[in-house]
Amino acid sequence: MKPGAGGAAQAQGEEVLARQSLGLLAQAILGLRSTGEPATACAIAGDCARTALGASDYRLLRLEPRSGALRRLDPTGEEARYLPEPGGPAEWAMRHEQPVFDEGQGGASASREAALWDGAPGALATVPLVSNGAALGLMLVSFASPRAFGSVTRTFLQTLGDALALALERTQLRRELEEERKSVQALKKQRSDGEQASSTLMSVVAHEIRSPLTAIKAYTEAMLDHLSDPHAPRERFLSIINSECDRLARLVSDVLDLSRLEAGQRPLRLARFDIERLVTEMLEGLLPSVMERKITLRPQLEPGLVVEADPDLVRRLLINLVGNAVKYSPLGGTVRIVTRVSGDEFLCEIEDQGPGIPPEDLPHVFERFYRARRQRDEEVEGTGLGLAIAHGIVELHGGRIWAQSAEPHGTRLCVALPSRQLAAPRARRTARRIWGRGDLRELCQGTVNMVAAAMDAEIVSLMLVDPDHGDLFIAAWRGLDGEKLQGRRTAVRAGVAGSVAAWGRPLLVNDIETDRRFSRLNHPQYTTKSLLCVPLCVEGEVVGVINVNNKISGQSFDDDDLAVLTALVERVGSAVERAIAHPDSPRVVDEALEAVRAVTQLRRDGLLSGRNRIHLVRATARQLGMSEAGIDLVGYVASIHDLGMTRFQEAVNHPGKLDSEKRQEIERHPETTLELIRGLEYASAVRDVILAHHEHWDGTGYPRGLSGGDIPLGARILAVVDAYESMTHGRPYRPPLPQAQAIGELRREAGRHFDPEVVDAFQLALGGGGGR
Amino acid sequence: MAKGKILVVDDEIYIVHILDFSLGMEGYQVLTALDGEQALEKARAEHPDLIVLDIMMPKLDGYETCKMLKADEQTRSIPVILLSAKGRNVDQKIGFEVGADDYITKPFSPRKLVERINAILGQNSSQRLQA
Repeated sequence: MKPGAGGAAQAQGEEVLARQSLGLLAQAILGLRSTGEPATACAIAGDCARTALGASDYRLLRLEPRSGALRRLDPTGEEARYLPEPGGPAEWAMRHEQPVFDEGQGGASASREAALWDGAPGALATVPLVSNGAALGLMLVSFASPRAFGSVTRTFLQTLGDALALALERTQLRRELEEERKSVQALKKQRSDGEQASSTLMSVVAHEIRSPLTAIKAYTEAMLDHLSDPHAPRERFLSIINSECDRLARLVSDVLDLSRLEAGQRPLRLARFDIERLVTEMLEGLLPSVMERKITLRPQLEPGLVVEADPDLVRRLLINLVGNAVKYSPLGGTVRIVTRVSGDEFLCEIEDQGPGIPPEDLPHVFERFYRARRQRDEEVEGTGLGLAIAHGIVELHGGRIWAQSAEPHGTRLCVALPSRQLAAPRARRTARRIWGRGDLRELCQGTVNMVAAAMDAEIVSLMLVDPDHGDLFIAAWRGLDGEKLQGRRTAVRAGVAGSVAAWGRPLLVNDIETDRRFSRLNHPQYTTKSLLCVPLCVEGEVVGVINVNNKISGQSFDDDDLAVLTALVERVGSAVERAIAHPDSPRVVDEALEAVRAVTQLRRDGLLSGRNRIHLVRATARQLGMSEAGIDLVGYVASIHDLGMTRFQEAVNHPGKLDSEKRQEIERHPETTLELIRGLEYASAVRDVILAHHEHWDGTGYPRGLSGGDIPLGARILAVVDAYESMTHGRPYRPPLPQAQAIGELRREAGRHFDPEVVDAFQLALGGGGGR
Repeated sequence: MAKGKILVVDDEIYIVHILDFSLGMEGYQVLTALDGEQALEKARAEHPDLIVLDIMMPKLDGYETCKMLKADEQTRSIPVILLSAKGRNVDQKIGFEVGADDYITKPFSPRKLVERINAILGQNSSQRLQA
């Protein structure tokens, strides 16, 4: 085809399109309006492009908001990961949120995402789907041969893309709403179940406590009433009071132990030990009660069996189980104790010749006070919590416990514990991929530096799951003596780091010496007593933890620190996720590393928000009734939102030199921040807040001149807190204002510069101890 | 000469012992039972003047035992004092519904229990005199 003739034909096509486009678009939008399926929406838009423009094919790529990975959406509704061609149109369009029109002049060698198509396209339009400032994905429309994209065609494709974006956003919002509704319902149910369980437990505990109390009260009063009576058996009464006091004390300590086990507040203190020896010693300790009841213990212990577990807890577990068997055995009966190994598990069976348990009750014997509901035998002592505690200990080790009926009668209690406490195979595979890449190892070290800067911490370490051994090792650190670290490892579930790795919950310890959860875990390295530990999650699996100790200022860490740290580490996790999703694209890690370094630099430049600012922002957000997730989000944004200013630090400190060109540049700092944080930040809510924190309520701010409710609430809060902090701290060229005067200034600007409601809430937050 | 015969029923052996002691010191003859079934047997065989009955017991609980005592011609007229760790109004109501004459919650004072027993038996004897 001669270019001239083709050009003429296409010019004619433009005219035709101009006449028909409104009708075609209206038709497409009507179709989009009535569908909730992304695949159908995509098909409607694609068919419209085919009819109107003679396109040969189309594709939709959906953006995974957390990881930033692209997924190809097929008309069947199936999704598959798609890696865009490096430097190709998909990557460019995502990055710049601008369409790419490739008219085919580059010939067949130009990058046109070849993997998406059956035949290589001759021309390609790549349109980003953007709604509400957030990129949702890309629409690609391919043409068999090269063609020009005139202004009408471009506008047509962009409008079609916008309509598709709106439809996709709508389905996404609907899905999120549905999920939210479900999670609220689940939460409600969980709470009411929990309340019910705890009130039943309370009444059972109250009953169990009242029995010994009744005896103590009755015997004490009887003694008082018969003090002068020489026939009153005082010694016997006192010994009963004494033993009932012991029973009460046992009950109270069992209830406490159990609640700590169930709350996951008792980290394992793991050791490798010979199980045969532990069982033998334990059985010797039980001999007095065994002899009293003329019971024969028959241990069958596999020799030389070494397990990795918490020896104190395992001893307690076995005492409870064997003690239980002895109690329910008939006089002169036999109790069998078997230990052996089976695969990766250590098995233990304890069998008695007691009356047995009805089969329907077998699954319930590990419930608290199960005994209380059973026939009571006056000779059977105990709190009714022994088996519940055993169950808690087994759970904590990640093992199993169950009860069986023994032949001809009696009960067999069985325990299976993992011989070693290892990370899950998936976590180990992911850790291997992380540790195998130099750039990700660098990201680990960069993260440690960033966390140290952001948390103002002396000591930070990142522990990663060891792919070969399954425990945790220190992969990157700062402020620790490196040589001593080589051998320092911890098993999953052991200690502070191990329990965070096992349960995946962030942890704040205010004072490790008084915190009962960690008594005896205190390590000399902790010269101050406050520490934070958060999990590093990749693809839903905990692959490591980040430990933070010792605030340089000597203060303790608090919940606000924990929230900011959690947010930062979550972002590192999702960057690692993206890096794994795009193994051939080193830029993912490079950008993340750049962002991590920029956050680290903030501290050096004195631009990192201090705790006071984060406290004030979170307290104001709380005052305004934001959700916990919303509060965490603005708190996190508050800590990093001035990243873009690092580039203009000098200019800000010397405003005399500020010419209009420089000022314009500074006014772009929110965008610069976005540029810097891109490698770490895919949540559009975060980007929206960062971008808008210099907008004014009356529309006179920058960069977009938004006004009123169009400015995200988080950004309106940041504006107020930033202004207050700046006024009360002063600038090199301006002395600090007293608090009252600063508030007066905020009030004067309420309705102009600031949202009046936010100013009110801020003042309340400030008065309520939000600032320190 | 004993003041009267009291049957004490509780699955907690120490409680039975202390009531045995306190009531014995007061001049009562004390019979004991450790569960509801035993209590019914002894009530029918020994015709006590009053029964102190715990509620939370194995085999047959205090409510059931009380109901059966009050349904039986032989034992219907024997006053029953329920004794239990449950102290809520609901339980008291059930207690009176099954025909109990009085109700004492644990932990209790043995002295007060003795006073109640004296009161009930004194009242009953005067009623008997009137009749």
